[in-house]
Formats: sequence, C-alpha cells, structure tokens
Amino acid sequence: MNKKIIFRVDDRLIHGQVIEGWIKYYKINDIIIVSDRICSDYLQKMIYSSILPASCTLQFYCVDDFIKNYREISSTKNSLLVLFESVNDLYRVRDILNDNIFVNIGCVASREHKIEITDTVFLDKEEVLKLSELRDRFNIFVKKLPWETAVEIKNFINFLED
Amino acid sequence: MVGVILLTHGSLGIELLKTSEMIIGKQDKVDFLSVQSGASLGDLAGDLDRLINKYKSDGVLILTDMFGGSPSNIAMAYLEKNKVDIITGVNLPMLIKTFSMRKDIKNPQELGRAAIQTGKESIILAGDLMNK
Repeated sequence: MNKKIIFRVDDRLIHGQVIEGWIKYYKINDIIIVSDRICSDYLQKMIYSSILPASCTLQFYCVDDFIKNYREISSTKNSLLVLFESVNDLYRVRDILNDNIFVNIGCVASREHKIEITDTVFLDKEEVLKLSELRDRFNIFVKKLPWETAVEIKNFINFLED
Repeated sequence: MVGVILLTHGSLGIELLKTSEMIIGKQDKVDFLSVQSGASLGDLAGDLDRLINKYKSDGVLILTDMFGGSPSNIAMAYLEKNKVDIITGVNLPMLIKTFSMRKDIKNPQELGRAAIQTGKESIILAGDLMNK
C-alpha cells in the first residue's frame, strides 16, 4: 500500500487550511506536532487536540525526541502529517528526510527583512539558504493548499541577490 | 459592561460589526482583530493581549469565526484567564444578542451562553418550515 508521509512547515500548525485542505485531501489519520515550545505546554496541547476531527490522532514531540523515535513512529502509520513551526525545525530533522517524504512549506509569517515567496510564505536569508540546501537533496513544495500548483524554487537563491 | 472582541479571518469581523451597528446602533467597548494571509500570529497575540488587558475590570467575550481556525486557536490560549470566554462560529444574530444583553449579564461566560443559544436558534433550513 502506498504510504503518504507529509512534513509541513506551518507556523499556525493546525488551522483551517490543514483541516479542510491537507487532512481531507490526503485522508490523513495521524498527525504529529513537532515543537520544543508546545511539547511541554499543557494548554497549547489541549487546544490543538480539541480542534482535530475525531477520526484523527494527534501526538506531540520535542524536536530531538522526534528524530530519535522517527523510524518507529513512521513504521506503524499508513498516512502521516508532521507539522513543524519553522524552517529551522525542519532543517534540524534533515537527517531523517528521504524521497518518500513529501516536504511542504505552507505558512511562514511575514516579519521584518523577510523575502516574500508566496502570499503565505516569507523567509529570511538564513531560511532561504537552509531550504536551498534541502532542496538540492529532496523535492520541496511551496504551497498553502494541496490542490494548488507549487511555487518553483529551483532558482531560489536568486531571491537573495536584490 | 463586558467588552467584546471580534477576532476573525480577513475582514469578516469589521463587516459583522458594521452590519450589527446598522441594525442596533453604535456600540461601546468593542474591538476587532483580523488574521490576514501571511500575517504573524505572534504580533496578533500581542494585540489581543493588550485588548484583553484593556477590558480586564469587567471581563471580555471574544467571538471568533471558526472553531479550529487560527483566530480561535490564538484566543483559546487565554481561557485560563479570569473573566475571559470565547465563542466560536460567530454569526450576526449572536453578535446582536451579545450587544443587547451586555447591560443585564455581567459575566462573560453567562453572556456567551445566552448569545450562542440565539446564534443556534437563528440557523434553520427554511424548507423545514414548509414540512411542519
């Protein structure tokens, strides 16, 4: 059976785009939030657990624990959506990435000195460099919803020249 | 009087407010916040923080547009605070009820209960009226 594993960077984690878009489109049953900020925050865990459809399971991991346990986690799931809050957290797990994982950059909020990649993705120089490095080894799709066309990032590094 | 914060995607909140004021007149102690595509939720949480503080003496009822959406997720982080409650799935009858009951109901949670009852009752499938 074809396994669907999606790693998504989204600083809003679980919200409308994820529930109405990714989870339904790919019929995802298992979701994991990987965040050092949330893995020990009872209230945030309660909030995200309460908003998922009843058919889904949700687990929380700190980044290092996720890396340590990923092989075991992924072996038991048929479909899996892993949510990261930042490009930096995705970069931290780069050693477990492989070609079977669909890597998606969905929402990274605008802040000062950010480069606009799409209407929901704004990256700083360091993030562009990290994604460029990952893109050389894996396919990375920049889009907020599954049925959209991904933004081409082959010449990504050109964003830095202005 | 309990404060009201409309916290929604896009311009839904301000338009709901304008429409309700068209019907029942200008309202005091009400603010709106909007989550735009690409906007930083951290900045928004800061704005929400300031507004909740502004209303801390009488408490505040936050109305969000959709349970599970990011406006609602941000608001829920304030549930542990005193005199703060949140309604998800705001509609116009609910908002009007909230405004008109504020003078009588001093507690955000009780105000919220009254408002959602009106909100729910306002949702019908009109065709069902014919089958009665």
